Amino acid sequence: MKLVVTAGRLKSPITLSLLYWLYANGYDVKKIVCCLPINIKRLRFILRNRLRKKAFKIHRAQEDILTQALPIPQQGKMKFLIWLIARLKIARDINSFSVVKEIKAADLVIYTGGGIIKGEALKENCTPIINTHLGLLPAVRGMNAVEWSILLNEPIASTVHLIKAGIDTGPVLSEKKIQIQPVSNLSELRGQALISGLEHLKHTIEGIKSLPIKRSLEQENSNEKSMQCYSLSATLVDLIEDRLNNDYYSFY
Amino acid sequence: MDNYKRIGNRVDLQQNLDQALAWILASVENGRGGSSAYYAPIFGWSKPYPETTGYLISTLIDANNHTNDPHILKIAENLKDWLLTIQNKNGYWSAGLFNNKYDHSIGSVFNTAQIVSGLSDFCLLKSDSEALNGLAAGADWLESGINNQGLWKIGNYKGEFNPSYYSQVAWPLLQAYQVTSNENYKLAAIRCMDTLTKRIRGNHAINDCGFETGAPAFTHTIAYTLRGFLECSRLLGDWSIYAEKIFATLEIFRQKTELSGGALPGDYDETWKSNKSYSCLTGNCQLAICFMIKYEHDKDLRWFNAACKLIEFVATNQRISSYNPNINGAIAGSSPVYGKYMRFRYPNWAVKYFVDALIKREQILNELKK
Repeated sequence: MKLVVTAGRLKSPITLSLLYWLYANGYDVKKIVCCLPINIKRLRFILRNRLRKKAFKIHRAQEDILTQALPIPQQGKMKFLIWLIARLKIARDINSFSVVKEIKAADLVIYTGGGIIKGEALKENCTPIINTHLGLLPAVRGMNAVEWSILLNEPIASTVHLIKAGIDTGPVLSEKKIQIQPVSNLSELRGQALISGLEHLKHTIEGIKSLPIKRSLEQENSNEKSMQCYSLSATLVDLIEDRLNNDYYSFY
Repeated sequence: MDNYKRIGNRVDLQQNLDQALAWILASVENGRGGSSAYYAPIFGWSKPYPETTGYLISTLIDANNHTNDPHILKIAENLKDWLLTIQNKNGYWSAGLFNNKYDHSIGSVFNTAQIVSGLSDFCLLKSDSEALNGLAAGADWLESGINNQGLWKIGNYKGEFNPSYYSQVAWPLLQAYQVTSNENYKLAAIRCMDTLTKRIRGNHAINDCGFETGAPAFTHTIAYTLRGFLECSRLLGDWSIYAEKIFATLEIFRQKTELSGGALPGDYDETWKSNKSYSCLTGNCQLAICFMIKYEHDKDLRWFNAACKLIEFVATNQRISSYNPNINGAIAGSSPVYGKYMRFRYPNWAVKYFVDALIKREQILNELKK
């Protein structure tokens, strides 16, 4: 099974840990496509949100937690890095011709970031692209799914699904409830959820025996009860931290 | 730099609210009886504006409830007294700023309605026969001017053009009905709203929300329109007649708010084409209030999240520590300040809606924390 892994940042502990697992278990990874889309629109968005420092702080703390929780063993690290660099492809746009070509040549694409995939790569009968979403689908779609699950009183869960044109609307392959241990802040919560989601993704990859995965339109997950969520405002980040510190575990 | 304070790494908009309220009080001190319409760094404080002075009464009443400061209520009472002294004997108030050119011979439908709204809120708080008579005279004038098609022929901003934000005329008529129990006000409001409801397009935009027919509308006047629909439904106790008809429009604005991180473009045309060069801060606050009303209706926190993003964006644009004390606490018409809406000016209605939004946000947060 020829694999392609997409990433937004190679430094991401989740991506590195997944790649190490694929390497250690002998998976045939053909390409690791790293795309960090930088354009005027994105830069403007970042600048406009520069005042929401707290979001960046949470993100940094979460990275520290993940780096500690998901270490790459020192023994054989050099070999792994050589393996990684040999397969690495840096691209500006995940939807560019050269990336789509790599996607089409693979049997399975594992998405861990790199921007929104659209167009050619998502056409019918194209290579299946799997993604882990940290929320129960179709109930909680979009960003900050762990936090929204708490705010909307939905179970915290991870869902591995195929990527389709809509945001988190593709067919669900498997879902798993996440057992969260008591945490004191949002970074720890996200860290736990991400680690659990990674384990879920590994388990799903192990279970994928027959390819191609059927991805007909009929399989698209129902939008009846789905809620498209966006990033949290600073006010709701505070509210959710209150809930984590107070009574969250008593009612969840 | 953060414009809102963080206490122990938490968002605290209390300082923003305090400064905004202080700015409103300064606008009254410099308002020669009413509230100065705006402050412009070059020209200073403007003449008072009867229309916005009218609906500032409602804000001051809410602020009094929020802060328990009797001084604020006294100021609301003074504003009410001033408005009654400049009311025309036919019941209406005229358009524009109150200055030497203030034309008492022509009434203004929209401006009269906003003053009726403030007086109605005052009468709900305090028994005051003068205010009651003033609001009844104003509402009588509004009611007598509406025709069978639900339109006003005279008293409009431009000729016979009735903009869709007249939903915010229907709302004060219903407020007047609530206070006086005069059924004619209610019937006039329903006639107006039934006409405006027909202007909702297939793409969920609403025709004629701006100052001219077919022209792009500031989010300020679009939000006036949407708020009118919501409040009329609320006062009539039936969400299906008006409010539900604009839920899809609100949903589009919610998505646009989320995708812009709270910095909504300043105006939209009827095909949703927007002008992204500036954000209309007043419109942002008004839309935040509409989102919070929607949240209160269906308890979907995503509406509150979008409202908070709009408010947080406006808070980052509030001047807190300017070398010019007249700007401290003020909200500019646009962000950036040279944007198309109220260019280089700090209008009192921007601060009014910011205070309204902050108070509502605080109330919802307190509920959520229980």
